[in-house]
Amino acid sequence: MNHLNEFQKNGCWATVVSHLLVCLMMICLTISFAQLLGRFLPLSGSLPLWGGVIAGEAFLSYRVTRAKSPFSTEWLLARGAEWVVLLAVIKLIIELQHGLGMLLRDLPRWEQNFGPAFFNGEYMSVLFVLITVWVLSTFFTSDLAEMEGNELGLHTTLMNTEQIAHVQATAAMYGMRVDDDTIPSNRREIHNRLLSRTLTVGVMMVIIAGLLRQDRVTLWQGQTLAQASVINVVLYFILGLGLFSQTNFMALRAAWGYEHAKIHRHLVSRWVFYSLVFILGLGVLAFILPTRYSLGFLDTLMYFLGFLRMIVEFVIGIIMLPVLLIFRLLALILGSGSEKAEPVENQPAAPIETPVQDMPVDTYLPWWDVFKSFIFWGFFIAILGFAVYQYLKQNQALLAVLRRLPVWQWFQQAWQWLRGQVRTVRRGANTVVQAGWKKLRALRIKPVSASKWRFMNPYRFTPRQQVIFFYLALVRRGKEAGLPRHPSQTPYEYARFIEPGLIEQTEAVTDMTEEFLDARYSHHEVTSEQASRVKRAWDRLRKVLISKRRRSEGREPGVTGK
Amino acid sequence: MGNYLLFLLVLLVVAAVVRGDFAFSVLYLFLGAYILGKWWSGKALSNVTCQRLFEPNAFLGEDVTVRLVVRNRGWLPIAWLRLYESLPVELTIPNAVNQVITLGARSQSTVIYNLQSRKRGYYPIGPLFTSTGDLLGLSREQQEQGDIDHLTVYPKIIPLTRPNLPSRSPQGTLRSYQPIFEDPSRVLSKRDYVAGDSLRRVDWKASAALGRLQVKQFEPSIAHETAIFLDLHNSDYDHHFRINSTELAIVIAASLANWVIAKKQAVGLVTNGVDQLDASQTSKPLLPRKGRGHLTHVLETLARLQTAETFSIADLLRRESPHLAWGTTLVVITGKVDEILFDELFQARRRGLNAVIILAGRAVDWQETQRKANLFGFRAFAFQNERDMDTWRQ
Repeated sequence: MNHLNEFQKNGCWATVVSHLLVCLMMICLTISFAQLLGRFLPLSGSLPLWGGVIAGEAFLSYRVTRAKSPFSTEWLLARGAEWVVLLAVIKLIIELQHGLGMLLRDLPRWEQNFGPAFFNGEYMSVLFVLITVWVLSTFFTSDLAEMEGNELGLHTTLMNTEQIAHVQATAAMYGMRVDDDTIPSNRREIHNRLLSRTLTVGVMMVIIAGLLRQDRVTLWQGQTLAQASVINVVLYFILGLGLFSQTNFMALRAAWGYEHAKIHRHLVSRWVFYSLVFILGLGVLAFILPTRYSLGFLDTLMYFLGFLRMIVEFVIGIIMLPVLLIFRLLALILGSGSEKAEPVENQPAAPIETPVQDMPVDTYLPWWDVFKSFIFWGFFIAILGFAVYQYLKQNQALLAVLRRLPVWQWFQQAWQWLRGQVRTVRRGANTVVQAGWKKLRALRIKPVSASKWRFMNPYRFTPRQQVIFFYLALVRRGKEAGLPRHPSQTPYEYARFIEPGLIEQTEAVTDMTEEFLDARYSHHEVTSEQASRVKRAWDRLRKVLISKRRRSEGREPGVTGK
Repeated sequence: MGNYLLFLLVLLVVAAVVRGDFAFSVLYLFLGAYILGKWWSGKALSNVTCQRLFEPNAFLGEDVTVRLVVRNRGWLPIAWLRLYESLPVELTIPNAVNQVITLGARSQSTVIYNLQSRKRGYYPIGPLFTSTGDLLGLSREQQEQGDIDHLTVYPKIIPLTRPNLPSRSPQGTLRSYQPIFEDPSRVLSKRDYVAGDSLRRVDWKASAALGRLQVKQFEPSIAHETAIFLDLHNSDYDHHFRINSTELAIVIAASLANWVIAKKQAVGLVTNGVDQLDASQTSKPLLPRKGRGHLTHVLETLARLQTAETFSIADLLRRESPHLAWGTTLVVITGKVDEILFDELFQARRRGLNAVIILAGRAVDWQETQRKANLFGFRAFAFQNERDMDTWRQ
């Protein structure tokens, strides 16, 4: 039961918020009307406020008359009375705005000639605006009421009579009506209807705002008019998005309720929070993106092509740079004896060209303006393309017809060709870039010279490393002494190979070989004693190998060579 | 969407005609609402992962708690996420998991629900259907279908005490009162050699120690290597009571398997029923093995079995009984015994197998079956319901 109450309360709050949003939207609409009518007639500045009041009145009166059958006597009486009161109140307010004296002066005239005196131009204009607002508000509230109308119908299977009465009482607290005999309505359809209505009114407001911002000489017979504000238009759409969010929630909520899905208790608050963030984020994005252009489409295209040309020239310049340098070097070498061109003196100065005012491409433009123009036209084309794509997607028959046209096929072939070319260029560029990158990397990695002397301190090595180091030194020195190790030889084979040449040191060779094998191929711990033993063996062998090398080089021991 | 597109086009035209910057702002606003909304919902759903945490096996009557962990791995929050878990009606009430949740950036939500193991079977848990959409309702809902897990509910096991299954196998762990079956691995005592004792029985070490010949005396024992032949062929059961009879047959098989394993003996299961894991063919035979692990395999197989129009139990015996070891006890659980089955059982007996017939459910011509079984020397039992099995529990 708590779950149902929560469910119902959430729905009531969503309805209240939706009505509030519609009320604010109607105020925005009234502002647009007031701006338009204000061109011809002096209108009261409080008209938008009255638009809001009328919208609220429309909501309330709809709630009151909702239970009555349309066009029944009761309904006609209620609506008639409502409008008589509204007409009188509106007239009274207009008159009072001009002062009580004006009202007292006008009263006798109403007696003499009621029609023209009562329904004057100002009154009729205000009436037109407010009636429009009232009608639209009624439509909106009708849709919203239809959305909320069958909450109980969703849960009758889960509730007893007492529970139904409780939910009805809860709904009544929020001024809602809950019928237990209503059929669940198609809320998605209502949501779409609301969406269409909001957008239609919005387009109307955009057109009004656009007309008001047109050249005043051509449209308004040269009247000096203040620039109309468009904040109300943008605000209307932002509020409209909020309304979409609310009605979407209501529609989803009804669907979930119908399927008896349990709704997370934080869902409503998070929905509102995410909606606010989303809409505000969109608003910021919409205000940041460029909405006017300094350059026309063709000029922007030329700029773009010029930019591409510049990039291509730069790349070619980079590639041609070595060739140009060679040519320049040749020119310097070969042309060193040639006559140098005399500086031209006393020549008439070239006429200074006056900048052509009507060529925006060549004139200087701030880069920000150019960038904005790029963005603007980019978006423009994207939107247009998207619209065409969507249109064709929704009209498959038309698409099929178009596909049969030769022009389409030609375009398709051209497109395929263009794609192929772009792919080829991309691959080529990729290859060139990869090759260049490899070369650059090759330049960066300098080969380590084998002959370069590098100091290594074997005493900093671990015992295992020391053993391996001394054995490798044995191999190196053995090679220098004419006892090279063949790559296929194992350490034992190498030991057998060098032992005949080192007859007095065979024990040292065996020790080194054994320790090397232990250090290199086993996981046994190599102690520092082992390393010391190997070092002592190496010291003995080194002397023998050095003397052997010297002998092989034809030098006597004790004679140091360079 | 059509209205929305029309609106954008009209707005584009108006914006271009009146060169109104505000119109472009509105255009960006609505285009952004559509594109970003669609991107958001699609991206958000792709970042959602679901994981079910539960014990995949349960005994009958147990409650299985399932923790469904729904994670949002991305930085985009999810305004609403509808979760609908498809669950078998045998285990839970409808709409047990039918929720709408909201998930923040890189957060998770856990939905806990219980499954009641009311009926043996192999049940699919899931798939989980998730759906989300944009806040403004401009684009279509994005839907995804998750993976399916399975829950195995073991068949009912009735603890048995004295099923009185005969055995011919001389080696085993159970003491036998038939002295003919002496187990050479179970030395009972030693005695002096008497003429006629086999020299194989002489204990040479003991003889050397005592200075006179000693022979070993063995403890008689038997092994209950049992193969349960479970008949789930549809036409072998009375179609009016088929469901109850086959379920009873499965309960008998599970209880017997449990008893045999509890006695540390080997048990196997051969059936002509269909395994839910592979409905295209009958369940693969489980050869007699010992141990709790093997019992689990047997119970899992029994949980998954379904009746089908496959082939008769006689055919199954003809095909599988030659693979069984000498002395194995064949326990044939079926709904009907005909001449062909008797013939196959007799052949099996000639091969050294011991046969027991158990009729599950309402038996037709039980008297006649019992008479023939006595004639052939088989033991025969009939259980119409679980209460009848109490004779094995006393």
